[in-house]
This record gives sequence, C-alpha cells and structure tokens, in this order.
Amino acid sequence: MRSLALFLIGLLGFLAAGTFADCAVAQAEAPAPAAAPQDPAHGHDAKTMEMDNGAFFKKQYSHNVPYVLFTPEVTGDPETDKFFSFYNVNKFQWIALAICLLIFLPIKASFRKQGEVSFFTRVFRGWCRWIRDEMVYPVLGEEEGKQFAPYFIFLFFFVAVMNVIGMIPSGGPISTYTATGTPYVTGALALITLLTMLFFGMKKNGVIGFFKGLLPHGLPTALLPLMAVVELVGLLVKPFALTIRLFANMLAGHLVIASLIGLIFLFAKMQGGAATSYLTAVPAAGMAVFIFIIESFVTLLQAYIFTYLSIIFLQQAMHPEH
Amino acid sequence: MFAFILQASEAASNMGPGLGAGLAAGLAAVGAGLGIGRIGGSAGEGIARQPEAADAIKGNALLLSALVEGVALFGAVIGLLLALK
Repeated sequence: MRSLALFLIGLLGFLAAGTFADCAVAQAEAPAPAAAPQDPAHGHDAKTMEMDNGAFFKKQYSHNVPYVLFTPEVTGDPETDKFFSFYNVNKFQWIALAICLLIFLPIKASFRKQGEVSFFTRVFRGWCRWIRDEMVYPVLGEEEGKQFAPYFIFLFFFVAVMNVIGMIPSGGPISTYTATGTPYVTGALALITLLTMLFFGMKKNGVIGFFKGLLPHGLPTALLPLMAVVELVGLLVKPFALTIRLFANMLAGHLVIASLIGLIFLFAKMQGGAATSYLTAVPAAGMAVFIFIIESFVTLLQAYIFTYLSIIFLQQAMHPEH
Repeated sequence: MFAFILQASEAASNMGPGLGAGLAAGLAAVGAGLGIGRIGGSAGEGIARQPEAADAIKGNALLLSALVEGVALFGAVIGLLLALK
C-alpha cells in the first residue's frame, strides 16, 4: 500500500520534471524565439579556425542543455501540446528506469531458485542489503524502516543509474545526457522527498501535531512567530538543498570536462592548426581524464548522499526531536 | 587612481554579471577547500589516534565532505545563473 502511494508520487515526479523543464524552456524561448535549444548534433558544420574563442566552449556546453525531442499531438492546440512534449531528459529517465528493471527483475526471480547464484546477483543483493541495513535501519529503526526500504533502494539506484549514464561518452551514434544534471529532475526527486516527509509526518503526528512538533519546547511566547517562520523555512530549504546539491555536482563535473575538451580546440586555433596542436591536446585530454576519474566517484557518492539525506529528513519529519 | 577605475568600469557597463559570476565561483571554491581541508585534517588525526576506527572515520569524513561541497556548489550555481544572464 505504501509502495503504491510512493510509486504514484514518483509518477507525479516524472510529470513534474517535464513541466518544470517545459516552463523554463518556454520562458527562455519567449524573448528569443530563434534561440530555442536544438539538438546539438545538428550544429556541427563550423570549422575550428573560423569559430571565435568563446564558441568552442559554447558548443561543448550546448551538450548539457535540455531540449525537446518531439511534441505529440494530444490536443489540437499547440500551446497545450507543449505540456506533453517529450524531452531528452524524459527519455533518459525512462532509460534509467528500464535499466533498473533489467537489473532487478532477474535478481527478484533468483530468490525462488535453490542453490548457487551468479556473482552479479550476489553483488546486487549485497548492495541492496547494505542500503537497507547500513542506511535505512540505523536511522529509521527496523519496523518503520521495513516499509520505506524499497523506496530508498529504488531512489538510490535510480539516481545512481542516471548519473552513470551521463558518464558514457557521447560520440557518433551514442549520445547520452545526464538527466540529473538538470534542476528539473533533481527538483522533482526532492519534491517527492518533501511530499513523503509531509505525508508521513502528518499521518504519524496529525496535521496540527506535525507543525507543533517543528517548534522547540519551552519557548517564550514572544519568540513563537519568529521560530515558526524559521522552522518553516528550514523545512522547505532541506529539499531545495537536495536539489541544488545533486544538480550542481553533476552539472559542474560535466561542464569542467566540456571546458577541458574545448581547450583542445582553443589551443589548435591559437596555433593556427600547426602540427604541435596534437601535442597541446594531450595535457588537455589528460586533465579531462583526471576529472573523469573524480566524476565517476562523485556519481555514486552523490546518489548515496541524496538517499541518506532523504532518510534523515523523513526520520526528522516523523519523529520531531523537540 | 580610483577615478580611473570608476571610469573604466563605467565604460564596460556590462561587466557586472561576469565579474560577479567569477567571484562567486572562485570564492565558493575557496570555501570548499577550507572546509574539506579541515575535515580531512581531523579525519587524519582521528585515524592516527585510533587505527581501529579508520573505517568509521573514513565513512563519516566522506559524507561530511559531500555536504560541505554541496554548500560550496550553491555559490557556483549562482555564478552559473549570473554568467548565463
């Protein structure tokens, strides 16, 4: 029952991600209709020598901007149809969900089998047990943690898979996009955490009891309005911080790599295309590889942080400590 | 001398957002470095005092560094917003 509620909230999250992205892109389109973000694969006609210095980096950064893939004709009105437009961000969320199902349905089926299981199954079983026993149960306790463990395991793997998809290099036929590198997707996930906090906090403590639990005990009455505002803002800023943390970590990593790749073109142009531009490309690519190594660690770490903080916020909402 | 600087900044009147973006990103990096450096220092000291607790200290240090980094990246996001304005 609880998993169903959380799944429906998750579906809301998909729609929310699409809506946020759509509103933002529509706002960006309105003043400059000619500058709508296009699929970056279309713009590769410029030659290195003819581009000015900023254009290398802009071309690399354009791979990190969300864009519309297609807009289906649901209603006849093009303005309302924009709500249903399918972004590249949505595509990669569905791909991440498909990969999660591909990984976990066989593992669920393997519990019915007797005898030895494969290494892959054992690794993922151990991973899920680690999330449940080292992340959920220490914070929420065994009885409450039992209900929420599936959601947090899913959240961890969903965010981790989306981050890791962004690590796959794009070139030629493969073009990947970090879905969590947009504030829309991370905002939607943090919105789900906020709704979970509010719903289960109010279910456990009652609506009035939830807000009363925010205020500390033994407070002089004059301070109550101020503390109420402070605690309300504190309640709302926690999911906002979750959003920005995941979004900025993912986007910053990719932008740094994009800048270092753009340096290759910049150095080539500065030397007028001499043969030594192959030499200057080596340190730039070397730095990009170094940042890539750090990024591959940051992807899993940020998924862990997001999940762990969601667990802590849920525990704080359900058991006010004052 | 200050009049010269004011004159130059009047001429480049669209310099504000770019300068702000650079300062935001740079100072955010300084903050991150300071914070994570302190966490690393305390973690190293703790492991030196009690090598048995090394795993727990490492796990905690990693978690806290990611939180400090999150705060520093707020500043970087503001810089990004300014630079794209």
